[in-house]
Amino acid sequence: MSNPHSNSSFTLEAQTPLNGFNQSFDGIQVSELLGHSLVSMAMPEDKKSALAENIKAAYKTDLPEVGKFTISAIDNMRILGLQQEQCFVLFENEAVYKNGNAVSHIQEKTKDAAYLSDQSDSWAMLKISGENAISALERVCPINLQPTSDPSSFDTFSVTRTSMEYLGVIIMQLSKQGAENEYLLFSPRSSADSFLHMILTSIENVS
Amino acid sequence: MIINHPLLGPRDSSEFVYLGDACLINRPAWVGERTEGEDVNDAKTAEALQQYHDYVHLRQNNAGEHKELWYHEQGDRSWLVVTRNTITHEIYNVELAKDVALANKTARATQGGKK
Amino acid sequence: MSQQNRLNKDKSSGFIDRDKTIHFNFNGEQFEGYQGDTLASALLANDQKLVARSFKYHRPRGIFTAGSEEPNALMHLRTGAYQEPNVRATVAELFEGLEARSQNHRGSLKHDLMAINDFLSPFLTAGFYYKTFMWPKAFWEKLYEPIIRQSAGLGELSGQEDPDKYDKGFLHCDILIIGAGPSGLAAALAAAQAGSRVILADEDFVMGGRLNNETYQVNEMHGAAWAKATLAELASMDNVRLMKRTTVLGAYDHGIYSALERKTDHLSASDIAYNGNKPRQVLWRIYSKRAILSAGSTERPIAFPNNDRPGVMLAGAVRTYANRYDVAVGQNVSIFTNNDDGWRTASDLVAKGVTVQAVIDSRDIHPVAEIAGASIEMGAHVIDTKGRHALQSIQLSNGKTYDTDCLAVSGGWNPNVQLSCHHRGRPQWNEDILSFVPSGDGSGGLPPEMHIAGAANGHLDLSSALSSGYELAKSLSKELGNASKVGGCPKAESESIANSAFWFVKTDTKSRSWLDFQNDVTTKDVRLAQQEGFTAVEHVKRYTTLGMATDQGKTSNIPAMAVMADNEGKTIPEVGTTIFRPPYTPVSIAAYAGRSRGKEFRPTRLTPSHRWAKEQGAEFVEVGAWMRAQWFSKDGETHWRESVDREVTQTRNSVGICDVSTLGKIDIQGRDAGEFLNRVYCNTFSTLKVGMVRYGLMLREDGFAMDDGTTARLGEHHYLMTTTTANAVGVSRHLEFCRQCLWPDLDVHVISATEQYAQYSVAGPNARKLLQKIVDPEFDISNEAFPFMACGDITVCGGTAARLFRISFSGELAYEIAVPTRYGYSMMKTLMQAGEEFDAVIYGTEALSVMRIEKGHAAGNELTGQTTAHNLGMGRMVSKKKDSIGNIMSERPNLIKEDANRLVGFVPVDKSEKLSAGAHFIQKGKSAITENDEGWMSSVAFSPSLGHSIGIGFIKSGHQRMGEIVTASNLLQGKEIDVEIVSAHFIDPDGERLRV
Repeated sequence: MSNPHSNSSFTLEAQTPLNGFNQSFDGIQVSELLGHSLVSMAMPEDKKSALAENIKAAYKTDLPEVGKFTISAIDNMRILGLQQEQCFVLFENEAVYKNGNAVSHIQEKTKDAAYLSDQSDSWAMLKISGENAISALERVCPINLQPTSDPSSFDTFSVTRTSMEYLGVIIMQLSKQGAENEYLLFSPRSSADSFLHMILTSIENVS
Repeated sequence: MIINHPLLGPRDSSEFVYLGDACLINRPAWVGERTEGEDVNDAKTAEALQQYHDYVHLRQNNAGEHKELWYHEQGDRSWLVVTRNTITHEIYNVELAKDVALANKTARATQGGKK
Repeated sequence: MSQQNRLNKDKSSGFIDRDKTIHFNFNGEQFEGYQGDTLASALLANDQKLVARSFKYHRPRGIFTAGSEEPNALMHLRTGAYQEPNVRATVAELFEGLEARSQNHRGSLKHDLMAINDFLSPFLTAGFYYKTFMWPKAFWEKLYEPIIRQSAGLGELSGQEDPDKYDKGFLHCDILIIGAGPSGLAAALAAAQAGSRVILADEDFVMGGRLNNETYQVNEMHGAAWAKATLAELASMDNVRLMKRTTVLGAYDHGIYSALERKTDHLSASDIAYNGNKPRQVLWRIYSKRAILSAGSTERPIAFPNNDRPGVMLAGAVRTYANRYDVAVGQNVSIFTNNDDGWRTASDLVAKGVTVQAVIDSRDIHPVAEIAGASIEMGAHVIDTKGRHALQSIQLSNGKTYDTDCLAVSGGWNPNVQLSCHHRGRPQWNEDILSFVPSGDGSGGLPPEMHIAGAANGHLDLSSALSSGYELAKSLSKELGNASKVGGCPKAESESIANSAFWFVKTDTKSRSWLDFQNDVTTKDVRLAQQEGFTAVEHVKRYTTLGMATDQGKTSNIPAMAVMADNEGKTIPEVGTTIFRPPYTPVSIAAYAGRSRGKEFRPTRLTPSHRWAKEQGAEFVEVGAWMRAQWFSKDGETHWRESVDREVTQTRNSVGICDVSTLGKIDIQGRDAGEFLNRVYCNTFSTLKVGMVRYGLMLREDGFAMDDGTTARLGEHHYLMTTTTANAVGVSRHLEFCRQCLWPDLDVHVISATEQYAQYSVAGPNARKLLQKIVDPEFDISNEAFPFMACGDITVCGGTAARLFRISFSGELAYEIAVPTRYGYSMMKTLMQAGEEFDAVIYGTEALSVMRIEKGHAAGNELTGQTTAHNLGMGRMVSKKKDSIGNIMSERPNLIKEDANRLVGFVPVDKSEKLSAGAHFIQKGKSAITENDEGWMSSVAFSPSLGHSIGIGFIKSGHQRMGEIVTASNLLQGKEIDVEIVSAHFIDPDGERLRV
């Protein structure tokens, strides 16, 4: 051992971006999404079909189109189609989250067909739901969240990045049509406080 | 303004960053390897300098139909070639810049082959 | 007597609630009104005729209209910090405790000292300011400007910060319907039934438009009742959003409209507080696929001498006050009209039991109707009025005089075309209604997908207004694929709208007939402007200020054009129109700011150690959106320099720790990642070994330096690039541009990893010893195993994944250690704990900057976008063996000439002197003029290591002038210091400390 001074008596404690925020308002519930890992998955054009096969084999689901996400019961996983050549893989696996080995966990499934990068610590993640969620979100979100017959409408399984009050935000629609509105919102971790403030102000302004 | 994104549908222009004339896609070819201390005034380099001078500094500024580059920074991070009327703001066509660049490359390659 | 002008209860319209008395205050006097009143209707109910003073001449003025076009009745509303000027009393809803004050007078409203201006009016004509305040020049600042400033403007701002909250929002619809009058309601119902998603917006607090002001019948019921029933039906539909108190302000590109919704303006302070202090107004951005402009029409006055006295009102407004608000604005009303519609006022008033004294019609035709008790004067017009603070009598062209306390004037109706012109559309003259209508669809610059219905399109009679809205909504819905079954078109009797071109009463040159009431522009001013050569309509507008007040000439533009046409012997369409621009009605600036005020102006980014730094008493500085610790004051330190010197000294003597997480980190992967980096950096990266880091300089295509940083090779196809804090976003954008637009055939993928890692610099001779305490023992970080510029994945504190980079900005033995951000706070604490035995210090951006200047490293002050690799002394880094951005242009002869500026160090000859950044270098003995300028000092610091001030900067051929003494001249500070040119590497020039 060339590290004679090493001392593992130091331990690091993890914190979440929003300290586990969880609150209910009139017709709106807001809570931090906890225990989820996020991995960006870049897809080289010539390996896309291999990747799709690998994903199908491991997760029994497809790669999404841009603007949509696919789901798998395994690891409660969602693949978010954010870009033509890049997806985000969001999944819930307590051990993986704790160990911080999200990339190797996914790599086992994707093999060499994708380039992965850990994003688990890059985002503040909020779940917002309830009958008044849309009223609050329409104060900041330029995306049309109202259910419409339009093919381009932002309905179930939709995901996109947009900007809200000068913050970059990834928004996903979780609920089934007709059910209670439920959304996931991701925004960069360093501005987590501004992000939460933006959402809470919107709720305060409408409830 | 609303830009009808080829993958995402209509999106507010506030999500985009504007760059300018889409001619920026057509970056001149490299002059080729030179040795250290080679005279920069040799004919090869002088020609390259002229090409780059035009590429870096000369832009169309059409009153009317114009191809321009927009970046969907608060979106899917794609660069787009937007064909827009600069007077009425009517948008005629929106393409992924990557597709345009690849098509240009293919076109150039075929042309070169014919020569 | 309270509310003496209120009509009997049995004549009630149902729009005011007589059971809800509201108390309000006007100019210090208490009054009562009812729920449903506007401030204007309540003032008129209380016989308050004089409510304002005019802008220029301070003429007594009364309420002129019943809508947002009001030019006269502008008020201060509320008090203290909540005071808002220029509120139109005609649209301000009455609420309990409302306080209003008239504006633009000195002394009381009745005895305005500035009324003297009216007597000076012969001098205060059009162009008065341009002509008078020309000379002498010296008078401008001391005399003229203060005078003008004092007289300019109408209301006063509170001078305090606006305590109200404002918000914004985004709405989407198939069809936006602007205006909820008859055509708007008919359109909304048809569109909604067809299945379109509809937004119906109206500026009034009760929807229905003129149906609420008139006695029309629709579908065989009272028009107002039909409106109410229709609104109830619309409200029950899921695909309809009804937005009252919402003014659509502007038409923007691609179906985007802006609209202001007034959420709490109609509430008392206690009601606002009770409802949780919600935002006062919301500025909406509405995305529509189609828009129907059904904004109705506005009545225009006729100009005649002294037509501005309180009591002279628009005829439609007079019957609105009677029909909707149960207010008789006069006991003895006369009507002056050039059209049939004016007669409706007479018949409606009689029906309400109000005495009509006379009906004067400029047309020499058979009387339109019999008006009980009224004298009918056909072919006559009003030539003068009398009454100082309120109208007392009118004089007619036929020599007759009538005593009257209200003159209702109707000059016909103008379609509200404003929004149809926001894309520079020019309206067209319509001879049938003697006014402008929006240019036809598909031509003349209508906003794309805007369609016009009802009176706004010249359908001034109710029946065609209803059917135009209905038909339009049906066909637009069909276009959008919404074709569910729609009910029948609402029906109404056609009423007569016959009119005539009688615009103004011709008079001698002395008397004044007002056109623009708000800016005090008379027919005489227009004539004068034209005599002086300002003949184009846009010139007349600017010279006279006609139509340039807050009402944008809603009641004055057309009559003024008629005057211009008459003067020039042209027709009105030949005179042309001015351009309408957003907003349709005035909007407070705060509404445009929304939430973006003060600290909320933009998001704040915090570093992973922010909370810890705060606990340590850090001083923070904003770097872009980031808050970074600048220095950490310890007890007893009275000056920031003491803290910074201590932080530098302790780092150089032992070890210091700094949060460098703000640096941009970009994860780059792909088979061609190395080739890609070769092309975006001027130096080579494909040869970098896995597990090593290299400094890279990025050029712009024009050959100037763009950004710099280190890039680590983590794997065969995997690199991690760092950028400067300021350029992180710009470099990402640039990389995506290169990847997608320039080299789409390369297999390379990028994603930001800035937020993923908390990264700390650990620098100083004891850096390794400190790190060895936390890095897990299986990772050898000795000098041999982990040399300068090495990097690698490690674990710390018993298994937590981390990355270690042996790089140095300070010039010391240094590492940067990165852990997932979740451990950022804990890692900072741990490093400091582990460093206790070494007396480790935390340092901020100031100490960071001092140490990099001591090492001569370039930073933002040097990478200004105007410096090249050659200037920075890195010219040889630009590889000619490969293509890279900026590679060719950096070779422009002028950029690489022998005497180009070079980055070098500077020390003062007198070591006690303090250098200043921004000073320019002049050869000794020469004068400090531009011709002798040889460069500039870019960064300076006090070096605690050397004990004196040091600087780096650019000077011509600097690298060949070591030891030369030049003058550093700072003309702003009036300071000239002799400095010696030295190497920029003040500390450890051979870099030995880095490699131990």
